[in-house]
Amino acid sequence: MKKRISLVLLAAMLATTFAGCNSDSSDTGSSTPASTASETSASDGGSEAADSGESTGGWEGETTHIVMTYLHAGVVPTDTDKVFDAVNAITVPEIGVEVEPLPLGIGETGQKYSLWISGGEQIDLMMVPFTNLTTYSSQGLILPLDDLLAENAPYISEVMEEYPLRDGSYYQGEAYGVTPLMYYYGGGGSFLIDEDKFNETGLTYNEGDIWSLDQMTEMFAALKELYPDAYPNGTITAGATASTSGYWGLTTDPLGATPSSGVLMGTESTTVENLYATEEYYNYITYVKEWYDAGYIYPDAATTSSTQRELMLAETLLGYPMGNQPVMKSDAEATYSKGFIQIMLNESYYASQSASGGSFWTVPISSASPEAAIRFLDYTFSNHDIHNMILWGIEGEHFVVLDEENLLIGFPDGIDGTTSPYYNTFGLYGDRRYEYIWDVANNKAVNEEYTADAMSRPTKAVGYAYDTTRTSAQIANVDAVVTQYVPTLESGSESDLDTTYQEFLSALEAAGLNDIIADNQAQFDEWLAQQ
Amino acid sequence: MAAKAKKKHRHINWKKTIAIYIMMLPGMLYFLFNNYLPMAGITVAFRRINYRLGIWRSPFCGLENFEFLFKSGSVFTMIRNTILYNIVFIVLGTVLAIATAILLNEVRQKVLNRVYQTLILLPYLMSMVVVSYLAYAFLSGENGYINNTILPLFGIQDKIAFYQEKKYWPFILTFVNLWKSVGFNMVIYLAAVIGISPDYYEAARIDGASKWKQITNITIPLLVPTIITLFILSVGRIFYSDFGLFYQVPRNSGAIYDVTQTIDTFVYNALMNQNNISMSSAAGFIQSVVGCILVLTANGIIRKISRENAMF
Amino acid sequence: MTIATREEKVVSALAHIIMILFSAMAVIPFWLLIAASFSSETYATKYGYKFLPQELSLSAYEYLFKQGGQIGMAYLITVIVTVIGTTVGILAISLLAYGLVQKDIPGVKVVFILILVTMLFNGGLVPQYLIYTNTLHVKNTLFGLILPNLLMSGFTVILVKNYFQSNIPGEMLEAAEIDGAGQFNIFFRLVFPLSTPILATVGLMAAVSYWNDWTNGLYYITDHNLYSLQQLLNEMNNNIQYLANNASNLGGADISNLPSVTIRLAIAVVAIVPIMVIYPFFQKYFAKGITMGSVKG
Repeated sequence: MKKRISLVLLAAMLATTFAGCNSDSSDTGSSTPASTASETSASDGGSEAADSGESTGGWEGETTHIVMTYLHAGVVPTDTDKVFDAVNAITVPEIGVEVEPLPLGIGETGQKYSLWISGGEQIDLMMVPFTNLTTYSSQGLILPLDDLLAENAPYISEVMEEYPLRDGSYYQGEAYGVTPLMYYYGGGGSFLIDEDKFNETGLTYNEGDIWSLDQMTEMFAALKELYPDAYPNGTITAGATASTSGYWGLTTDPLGATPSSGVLMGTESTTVENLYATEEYYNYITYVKEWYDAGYIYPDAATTSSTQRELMLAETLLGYPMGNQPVMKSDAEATYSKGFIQIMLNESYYASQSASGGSFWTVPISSASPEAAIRFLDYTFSNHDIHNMILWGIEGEHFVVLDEENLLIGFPDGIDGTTSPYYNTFGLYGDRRYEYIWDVANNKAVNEEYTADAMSRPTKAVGYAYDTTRTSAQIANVDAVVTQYVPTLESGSESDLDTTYQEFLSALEAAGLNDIIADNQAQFDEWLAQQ
Repeated sequence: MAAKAKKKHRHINWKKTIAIYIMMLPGMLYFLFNNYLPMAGITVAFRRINYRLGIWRSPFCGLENFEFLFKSGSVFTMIRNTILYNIVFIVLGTVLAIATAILLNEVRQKVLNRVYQTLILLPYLMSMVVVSYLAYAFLSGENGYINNTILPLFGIQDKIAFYQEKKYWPFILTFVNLWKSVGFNMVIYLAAVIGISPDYYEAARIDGASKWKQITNITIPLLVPTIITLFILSVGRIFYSDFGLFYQVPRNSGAIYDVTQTIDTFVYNALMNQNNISMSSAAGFIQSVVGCILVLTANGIIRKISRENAMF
Repeated sequence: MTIATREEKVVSALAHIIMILFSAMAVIPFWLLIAASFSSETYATKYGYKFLPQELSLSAYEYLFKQGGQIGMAYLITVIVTVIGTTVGILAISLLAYGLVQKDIPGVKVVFILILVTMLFNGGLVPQYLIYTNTLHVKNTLFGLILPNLLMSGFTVILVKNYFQSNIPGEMLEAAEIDGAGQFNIFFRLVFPLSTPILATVGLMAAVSYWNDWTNGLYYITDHNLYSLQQLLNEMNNNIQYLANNASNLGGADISNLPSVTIRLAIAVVAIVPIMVIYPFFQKYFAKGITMGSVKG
């Protein structure tokens, strides 16, 4: 009996070993797996190619096999291979690129990318989400893209004249990444509050009004009175690594890095400042402290093991601060299945791309074919069907178009978000202005209006990005200080605001924030002079 | 014991030597690949990494990567915390583990013995993330057991904000550490306790020695070699800390950093946004060097006191 | 004699009391974990974990069941890796430790020091990753889960070596050698059976670290069919944490069907229970060595 089990185990082990060898050989770009893949795709994805209309079989050269990272939220959608077969059925004849998805959890990119690249694994297109790209560019993990884009990406080259697709990716004068083209640009702060509960307070909010923090206090007080067991201000700072003061009406520009490496205050300033030492910031945390003491903020906001979403679903929290884009409201309504009011806390404005706010497509140095990678990237921008297919799956099978005009889609009969074999919602691809949406409230017109409004108030640093290489030791220390103090200060849970705040400021100084700001200012002045 | 017997023949027994080396070969190969070949990576601490050149060809940059550790205002705090907690954990952990092992050995009922042993080992099997949820269930201000159930029993109505108050954490962390590790450490000593020949106890009992005497005169002395080995090995890790214990369990709460921050949590918080392997190697290098010095010192001292108990 | 029995009674009672206390401290939190995993998500978030499941709900386990294929496969992988890794590990560790106690073999001391050094210095993740992927090609194979760091450690080798040194009588080995027994014979026929307590200890340590490991999976496995249980749990945690921190950046992403706290607890329960069931079978080996003292006689 025992012997038999160990034989089975051995067999299993050997089988996987060989499996491993096989996948290794495909990494080296041999043509065998490529051709088998395209055969299968031809059989079940062929009709899609015809659907897209534009397919004239334009590519005559050789087919190149590329590997693209495919981010998911923890579970790889079951139909991933099927969808990518359908994608390949179009891209192979059109641009001669066959793409293979490399799935990984969105939370694990930081731990895996540099390992993979240093191990020389073939990755041709790599999505780096919400991370300071300097980490990658300064260590030589990814390739500069300017020349590659000029030669292989006509569509991107055209739209990047108008939209900041490369902002935040610059290192020593060269761009290292391309963000998806967003359906909105600009930012600002807002507070999303449960609509029914807000109405019960008897307060009114007129669309477009900008509320002061005093008005917010008034609203929190009214809600707390009606719902003494709930917390109207759902600020959750547990695990926060950066300031969220931007939601609370502070107009700041992070200078293409993080708020912790100096900011411009307001849209007219050209002085790099320590955000945390500004009067505005102190004013904001004073309010937070007041809210906390009055019981408007969840007492365990800085340490809870529940997420904001879980606490919102339990109605322990009634609302939360967020960016002021229309999508934030429609998201909230979809997630919590109820109406929300989006209270604006400042005017939308247009700042430099924050280093951690962008999600960049990059080409690692371990790419087998950077040209084909960029060709494919460009195609995901120019061919909106491909973009939507990668994002939402195959039309008719994973989604149905309800309203082509407004790009509105829905689920086919019998499936929903939890049962769909392909529902992976990270909008990380292509020209998102043409992306299908599930909620009409977030339509193209609304977002265009928002963008136009925000862009009318640009800061002085649009297009600038702070190169952090010279101050990485100081930044490490400042980051450590920020994670120590910000979650407490921005949830109001410290016992003595002024003492803690003074400690925070001196700790920042000791960590070398002034060096960073001086370095940042010098770079910024140089950049300004060139404009 | 073995050494004495071997003194007789000084010439090398080649047949045996070859056999022994063949037996050691798999293990030696493993350490070669798993530990020695990667050890060249220690130089990463002194390089400015450029992956395009490859990590072996990246330029050296002196001590640049060590800067962030010493520029930070918290270097003293984190070293103090790391060392003090380790000392407490080593001392209390050893005492508790030996005591538990001896006591468990006194439980003669086979079934109960196994039940206790299994249960005490339970915490060791939980991941620190789960432990942190459970600790939170007891300690949180809003829903915590201590605040909502235990304190009211004693007539205390004021809630304690555990995650904001420094004074509790040295005890909480020590408790969690002992709670989680006692089962495991006990098992190590249990093997040694069980291994002691019953003949010794039989002889002692005939001499009329009390249980306590038997423990102090037989069990403990026979455990000394194990204790010393484990002590020297843990001394080598005195600059390291259990990241999960110090990061997850206090939920990275800034207000209590003074008593929870260790070298490992600091490095994590500092480099979280940078992914800089040179800087983390630099921290690791310091941890290793300190550990190495302490192991040599500890072993040297033990050697002076009793040569046969020294590890090398 | 009567004094001794009375004393023994006291000691035994004391032992029971303390053991019961310790067991209770271990069981209570575990019970809490199980109870919470059966509570409804909303209740757990709103009122915290309770010792009796509130608003009894199986939804966490239903979710796991729905992911059935993946969880089942992950279980299988974890079991295979644990069994192979532990067996091979014990063998390699004890063979090496056996060599280390041979004082008459040249170079053994050097080997010992070299093993000690591995416990103090390490080259870091990246170089090790390069060795394992580019030289040994373990990526996306079971070897990737078995080999890196877990198979042997200096710590366990030294533990076993110490045990051999103080518990295996040198005279006995000597006698066997004089009788002309080969080293392999001596090892497998004499040393191995006499060392079950330490081998069980080391085996337990190895088994637990294999069972609980997620780092090897994180670095060496990308193929979802080779995911271990803990890797699955860890990846879920990573993603949940990440998405919670980046909610603002992810405008447009519907993350409403993410696993939540009770599911994470349920996975923890699912991961712990099997090892609890198996452990008592391990235990019988802890007692077996008792008789060997008499060999010395």
